[in-house]
Amino acid sequence: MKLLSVDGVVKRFGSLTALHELTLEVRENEFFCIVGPSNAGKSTLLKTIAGLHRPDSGTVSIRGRDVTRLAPKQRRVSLLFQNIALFPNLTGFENIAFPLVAAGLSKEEIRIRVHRIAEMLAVPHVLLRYPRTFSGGEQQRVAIGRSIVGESDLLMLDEPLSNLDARIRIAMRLEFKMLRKEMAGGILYVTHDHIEAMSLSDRLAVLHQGQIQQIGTPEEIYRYPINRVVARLFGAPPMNIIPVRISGSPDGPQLAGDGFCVTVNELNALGAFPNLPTALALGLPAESITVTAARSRETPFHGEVLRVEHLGNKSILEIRLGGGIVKAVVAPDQLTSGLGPVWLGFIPDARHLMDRDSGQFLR
Amino acid sequence: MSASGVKLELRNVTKSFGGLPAVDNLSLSLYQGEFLSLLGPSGCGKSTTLSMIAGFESPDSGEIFVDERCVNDIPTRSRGVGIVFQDYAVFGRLSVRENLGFGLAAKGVPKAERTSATEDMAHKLGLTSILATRGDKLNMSEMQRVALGRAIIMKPALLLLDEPMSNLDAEVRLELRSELRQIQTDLGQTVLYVTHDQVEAMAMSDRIAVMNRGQLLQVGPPLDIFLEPKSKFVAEFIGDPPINLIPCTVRKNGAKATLTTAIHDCLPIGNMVSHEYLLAIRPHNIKASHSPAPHSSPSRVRVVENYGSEHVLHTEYGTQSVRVSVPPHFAAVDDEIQLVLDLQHAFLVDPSSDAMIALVTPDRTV
Repeated sequence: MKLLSVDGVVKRFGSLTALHELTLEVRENEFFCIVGPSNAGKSTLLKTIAGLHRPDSGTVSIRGRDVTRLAPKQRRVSLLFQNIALFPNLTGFENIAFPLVAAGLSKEEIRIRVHRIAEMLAVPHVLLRYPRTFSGGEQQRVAIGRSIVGESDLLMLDEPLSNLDARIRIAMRLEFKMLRKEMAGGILYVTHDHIEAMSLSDRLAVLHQGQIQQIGTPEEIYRYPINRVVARLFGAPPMNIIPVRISGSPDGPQLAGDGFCVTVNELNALGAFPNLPTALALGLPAESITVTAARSRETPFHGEVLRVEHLGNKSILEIRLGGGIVKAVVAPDQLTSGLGPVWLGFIPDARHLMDRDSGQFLR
Repeated sequence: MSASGVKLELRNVTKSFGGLPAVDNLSLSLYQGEFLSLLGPSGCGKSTTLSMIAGFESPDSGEIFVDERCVNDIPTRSRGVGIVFQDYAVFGRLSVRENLGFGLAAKGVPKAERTSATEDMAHKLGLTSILATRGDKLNMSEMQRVALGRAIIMKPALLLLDEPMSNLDAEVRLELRSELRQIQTDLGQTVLYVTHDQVEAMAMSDRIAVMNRGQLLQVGPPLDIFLEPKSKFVAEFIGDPPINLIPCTVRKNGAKATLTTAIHDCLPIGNMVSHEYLLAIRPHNIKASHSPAPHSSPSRVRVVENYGSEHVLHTEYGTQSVRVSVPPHFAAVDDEIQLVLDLQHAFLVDPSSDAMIALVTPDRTV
């Protein structure tokens, strides 16, 4: 069953179109992420679903009920903003209880619900304290508690972790993952961080300039992005995109780029060869490039390491290949020698061929 | 210019706010051309340290030397220190040329000299073609270069950067960090970079200084800090996915000893004293397999975190869970997998002092 349907939603602010006929669905019990850079329209979308913005056209439905014209509080959705705004003059308990008090629940009922939520979020110890004594993580959890205590159908979170220290972010991410098991409805989660999105979501949508670029599982989007925009947003470092030419050879179709030439048997499977676009590019995920100190059958192309970033569990190499630069990810104990000449190899995936003019991968 | 190449030295610097020490007896040196990151969580004292070096705050005690000159009583503008703030703070209504020349103009440098310095800096940073462009029309890469150029043009002994990228999108940050490092290397500018992001610090720095609760815990090259953390805090703070801390018991048996955890029984190790410890082991040093192997124990997968190029499994381990890095699709939630601890790359933490103790394994002697 569909929990949320956004159908053809257009939202304009003056002459600026923030959302272009946007359509997406969130299923029951789904953790759905919206990923996109700043100003992609992510927050506008959440506010439109919450009822804080009225769309210029299109509809928003929750569990089959058209809520497009309903007031925010009639929609049974809750929205947690990026900047945690706890009431400084209220205790942790009173902060979490706030929506229940406003809804006129009995004292006993409020007490039971607040304690249940506090247990779930591991913050019972802050219930009697005031927000200024909370750590960043505690503030965040109390704010989340306040937004889920009302038992809405859909919980929407707008970059809830982006103001936190990196370390707390990793820990909180796991808590969100656990949280969804406790939730009755679904979660719609907005972020610009692709790792956060991939690690949390069942499915995700990539939003760019008010338009949905791609919807799919984290795996589908990470491995097979639909276009350059999505490819740039996913992966750390993102997929290399290198101009290539295609030509026939006795061994089958060949892809030639600056500093390399590879045979791609599976290109025939694309069916369209030789009717491919003339301006082609090849997407090469950084982890698909093999790098060795000595030349081998698997690594026939010459390169030069310009920079190394040691991240501990992996290293990122910036390598000159022909006239261009590629980034490769290698194991930390590999190529400890650092800068200088190396040999590269890769097996291209036909699904990573791109029409360079449109920026779309060929499918 | 100093002969020794020490551009910045902090000597026993202490600063308290309302009786609480924000920076506690901090000593640290920065060398010519070095990129050093001051890394730690919110409230660790890194920003206070930066403020004292810049001259926005005065230390309660201790000395700050820039180019071997004590600057404790010298105002910010005369310290020879450049500062780049969060989000770069490029003046939107001024052109790139005006932004770059801003400090020189404020200092009263004659126009001809200013013009040549500005054009020279623009050339070094690849900004020549956009000298007339307004600050608010720049992309992030250009903005970073203008902010850096505006500071470096003043020839500071030391450039301070205060979490310049913390509000930016992940994608942009990744690009800017390699560009920043490139510019820093090309121009040989000494940089002190303040950040809470350990990946950023690892990726860019020559050395990292890790701070917590006002104290400097460890200073060293990124890989040394990752591989040889000196305290539990540093071990936990560096690395994503974070390191595992697993309660364990060491029992001495003649010239050898064994290590036992909640699920791994009597793993052979070298000669160590009997004691209760925490085993500190990174997620990629726990090997997962689908079938039993020597010294493997079964564990059930509870959560899978997708990192793209790898998956991180949270698997049941006694009453806690451990993180294990695996290739994508290695296992799913509720699968039972076999875990082998690679003790060669593990440490022990003394739970009473939180100090790290090298683990003597049959393959590793200390």
